[in-house]
Amino acid sequence: MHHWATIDYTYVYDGSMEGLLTIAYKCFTDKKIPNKVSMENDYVGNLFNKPLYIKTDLNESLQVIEAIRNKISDLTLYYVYTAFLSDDKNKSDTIIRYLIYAFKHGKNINYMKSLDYVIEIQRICKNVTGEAHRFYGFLRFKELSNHILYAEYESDNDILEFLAEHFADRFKKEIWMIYDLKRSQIALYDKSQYNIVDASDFNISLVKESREDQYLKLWKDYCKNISIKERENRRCQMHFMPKKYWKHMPET
Amino acid sequence: MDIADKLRILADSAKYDVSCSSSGSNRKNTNGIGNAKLSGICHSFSADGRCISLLKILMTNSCIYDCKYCMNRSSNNIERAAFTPSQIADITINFYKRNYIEGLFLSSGIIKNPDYTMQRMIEAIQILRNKYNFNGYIHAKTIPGASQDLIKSLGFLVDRMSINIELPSNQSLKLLAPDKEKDNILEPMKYIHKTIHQDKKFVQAGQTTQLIIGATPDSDLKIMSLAENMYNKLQMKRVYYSAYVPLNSDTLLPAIKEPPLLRENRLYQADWLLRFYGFKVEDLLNQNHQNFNTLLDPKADWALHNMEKFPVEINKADYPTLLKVPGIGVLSAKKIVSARRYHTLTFESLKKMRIVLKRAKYFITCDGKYFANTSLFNQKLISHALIHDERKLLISDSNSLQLSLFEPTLGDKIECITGQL
Repeated sequence: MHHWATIDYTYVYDGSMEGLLTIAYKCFTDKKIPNKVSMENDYVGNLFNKPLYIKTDLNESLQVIEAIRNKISDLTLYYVYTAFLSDDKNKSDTIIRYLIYAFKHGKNINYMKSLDYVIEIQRICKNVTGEAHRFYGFLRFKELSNHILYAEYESDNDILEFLAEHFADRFKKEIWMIYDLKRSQIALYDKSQYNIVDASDFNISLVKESREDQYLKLWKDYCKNISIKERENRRCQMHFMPKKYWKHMPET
Repeated sequence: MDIADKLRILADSAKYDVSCSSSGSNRKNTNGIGNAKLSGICHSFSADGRCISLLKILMTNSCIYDCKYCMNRSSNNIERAAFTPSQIADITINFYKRNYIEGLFLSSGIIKNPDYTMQRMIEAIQILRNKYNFNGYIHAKTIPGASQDLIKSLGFLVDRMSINIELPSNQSLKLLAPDKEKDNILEPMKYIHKTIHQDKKFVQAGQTTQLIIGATPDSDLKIMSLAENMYNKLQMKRVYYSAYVPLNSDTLLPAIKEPPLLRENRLYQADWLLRFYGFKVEDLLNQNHQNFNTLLDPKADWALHNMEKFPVEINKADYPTLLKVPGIGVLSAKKIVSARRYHTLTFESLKKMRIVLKRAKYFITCDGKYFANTSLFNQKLISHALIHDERKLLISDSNSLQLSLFEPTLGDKIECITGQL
């Protein structure tokens, strides 16, 4: 890639995965790398980089996906997809630069663990999957009066699909809803499949109705009782269960 | 007695069992509720920093035995309670639905006789598995002295089984647990081990055990040799070490004020070295050196006694050798082996790869270079520096280091966050 010119542009896209892959397509066609890649909503102009709006092209993005699968690996596609769910400010840049390296080195790229953009994309992905894994444990459901299980949460990354997959298998025969408060999206499961919808399209107050829950009280007491007084260690507790998750965990 | 009081009493009596892991099983959801994740999942953390993964309760805290160290011993005058099998199933399923827990960890004091106790436990678990079609994780304790038939039925219902040895030597057992017999503990372990090999559906997450540390004069050497035997001969998934918390006063028990947490920490570190780093107990301890150094972790201590094996070259040393470098864990060693096939590694590249060099730097060279003047490669100087760092860590972190090892992990502390095996 070193013979590719870096140009004083910020490539701006609509914020979709397809948009970002369209930028990848443009880089490979022009053999030019922009100074920065930014989502429309995040874009802040500066003196040095001129903005260039790249229009999302579905066909071009599909070609990039095909090329990743044929010339690099499914693992790389997984990294690109997972990193895209991150809230990392520089994820767009990282993904594009990682892809440029990946097409240069081919299927071995992900083993080159001392390359900057490999380190970076793996770090971002681990952050996303790590947070999803935490929420497999930390998410809390309430049983509504109509027996629907209802959970709400706030996460750094967009992990709703991870959670929906997990609970669709685990609570196969329940009806449940998981509400991502930060992104205003809800996953709805009806005992056969889940759908992710915008919260604005859905009147949550119709189903959300709180009631006294004897198991909630039992759970709070249980968590207090299970701790060994002689070993109390709040720092350790906080290390594994940082305060930012406590808001939606009734036992804390 | 209402359910809340029962739960309070029976959780309180169960908490000294340190095992919390929900790992090792990949039970599928067959059209009911629940499944198991191979890695295990932590659902919360209690004020002592321990992971809450399973609903850990006793069926009853009444007991006909009088083990000296145990708070539920028959001679103690404490509040007693008992759950019925259907109460246990009901709480488990309702906690599970709210995603509070990964499953159930059921143990019990011994009522009437071992077989009767086991039958009641089996009944509770049968309700979960058959009536509720529950496919989440279940860990059950076997009751010493229960018949093989019952162990067998229980083993086909649960994911993990355990029998606690508790006391690491025969003398200690006779002295402090006079009602238990060694054979009542070892024979079921052997039977479970044998049956696991014959049938994949039997106790698929394997068996574990626990040893109490500091209630008896047994040395680290004795404890670790016992653990090594369990890993090698019985393929135990885990041996847990539980710092003795003085709950009863008894002339036969040591009068200590605080649980020996640092010692427990060293034993966990050594346990890791046995299971994932290719060490044997004889590498770490011997007749002249029966207890771990409190000032240094066991790996650093070993390296300082084996200076002729160092420094190792990061770009050449094979994987087993890398694993023996203080400060290099399983993940770091794997990253190094992977990366160096494509690029020569320097101290800079290791830093970029987020490999912690604080301890490792004394024991490695990168592309032939030592991190400082080679005259610093000196046992006394390194030892001094490492002890200094360790002391800082212990002061600032008290026992959180040790507690991270309670985390059900595959083999590396870093895995705690994502893997939780």
